[in-house]
Amino acid sequence: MRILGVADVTRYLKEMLLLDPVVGDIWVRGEVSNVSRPASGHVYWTLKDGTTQLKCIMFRREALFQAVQPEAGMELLAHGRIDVYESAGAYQLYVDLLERQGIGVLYARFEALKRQLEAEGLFAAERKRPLPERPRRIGLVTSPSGAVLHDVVSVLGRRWPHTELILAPATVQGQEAAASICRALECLGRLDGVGVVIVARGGGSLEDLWAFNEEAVARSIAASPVPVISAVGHETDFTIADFVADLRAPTPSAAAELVAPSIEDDQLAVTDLRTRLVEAAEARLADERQRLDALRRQLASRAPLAQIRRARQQLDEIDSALRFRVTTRLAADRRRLESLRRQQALLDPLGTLQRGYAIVRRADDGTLVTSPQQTVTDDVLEIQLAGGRLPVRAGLPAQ
Amino acid sequence: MAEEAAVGDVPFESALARLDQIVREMEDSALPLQRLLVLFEEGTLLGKRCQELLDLAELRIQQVVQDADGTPQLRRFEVGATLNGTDPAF
Repeated sequence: MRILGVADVTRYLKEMLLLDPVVGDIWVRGEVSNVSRPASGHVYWTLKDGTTQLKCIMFRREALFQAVQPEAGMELLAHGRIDVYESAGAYQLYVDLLERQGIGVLYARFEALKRQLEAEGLFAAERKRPLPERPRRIGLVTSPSGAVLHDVVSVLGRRWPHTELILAPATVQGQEAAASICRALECLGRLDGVGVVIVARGGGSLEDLWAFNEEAVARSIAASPVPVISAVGHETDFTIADFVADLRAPTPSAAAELVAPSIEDDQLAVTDLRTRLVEAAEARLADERQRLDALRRQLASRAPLAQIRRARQQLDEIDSALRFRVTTRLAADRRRLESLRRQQALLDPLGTLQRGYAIVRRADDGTLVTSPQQTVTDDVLEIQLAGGRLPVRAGLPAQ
Repeated sequence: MAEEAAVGDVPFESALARLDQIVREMEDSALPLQRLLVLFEEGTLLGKRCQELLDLAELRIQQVVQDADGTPQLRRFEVGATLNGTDPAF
């Protein structure tokens, strides 16, 4: 048995790896995580494959030239060599070239699944369920960290805090995401009182959002016992989850607004009802009071004393009227009498005679003489004067 | 009073719906006066309750986890906890 120093062992391994035909020039495929970009410009990350990991390093010189940069969750092909990093006592992949998993492949899968599920009728408009008006509980499938939860809480808190938000935290990108989302959906489906579920994640690349294009997730959404709103990615991103869901919202905040009625509407409703309650009661009471008053008045007016008084009053009124008319009439008659008397006095021939006028008559037949032509000379006439009658003979006509 | 106990823990939607019903009934002029007064009392209590709920409304947030046999369990959730990077439950 040999005893070696640490440095010796390390050097041994290094040489071994260097000479190995496989690891000296190798393409490795895995999921990116733990990306670190210190100021040096070198890029460090981990490639994961299930539970195993491989640390990667790409020097600044190579990193600058890459068309693709490692991002967490990304499926990547990295080319390089495995070597020992002596000071850490670790092996890592020294990367000189990065390539993405073929995106074309992803799009093709997307289209194929979309056609298949559409043919099955999973996207049909008839399947879309209406959202409940006032859900007691709102389910939310999303990452427990990040802006989505914050946005939804903020909108619901402002708009309609009556409800209960039930978070089913899930991984929303990467290999485990699809299964995680499915389990979260199924669990919410078994919980009492959940009226609607929002499935949400923020914006990202096609790979980032890929879990929402998985068949398992689509079927879980379709199988949900309550309506599902999907809010995945940016406004312009459409995933299969969006097609299957009962409703698609462009953003998580929009989803929260769709789900919650406005508390202002509630306030208006409450104020309106309380006002109408009082008004209805007051109106009805006012009616009843009026009826009561009317009945009281009727009762009062029918009372015997009132009737007697009324009759007496009527009597008095008639009496006065009668007197008035009689008095007025008498006065009128008196005046008339006076007037007639005066007229008579004026017309009385005796009065006229007093004033010096005379009446001339023929003595023979008593006819009035009013003109000289009615007489001839020597006709016997009679002049009536105030003081008596004077017989005369008609004189000579004027020559 | 029996009515107060009944109104005491009624949820907002139920209280509002019942209040709506009461007001409609009261606006029907054929209602006997005695019934009107009874409804008015109930309506007043409901109206107060609704307004209290509006004034005190605060969003409740909980997290659901699955226990061993898949039954959903609820736990209080503090939004601030997200900063510690809680692992997802699902």
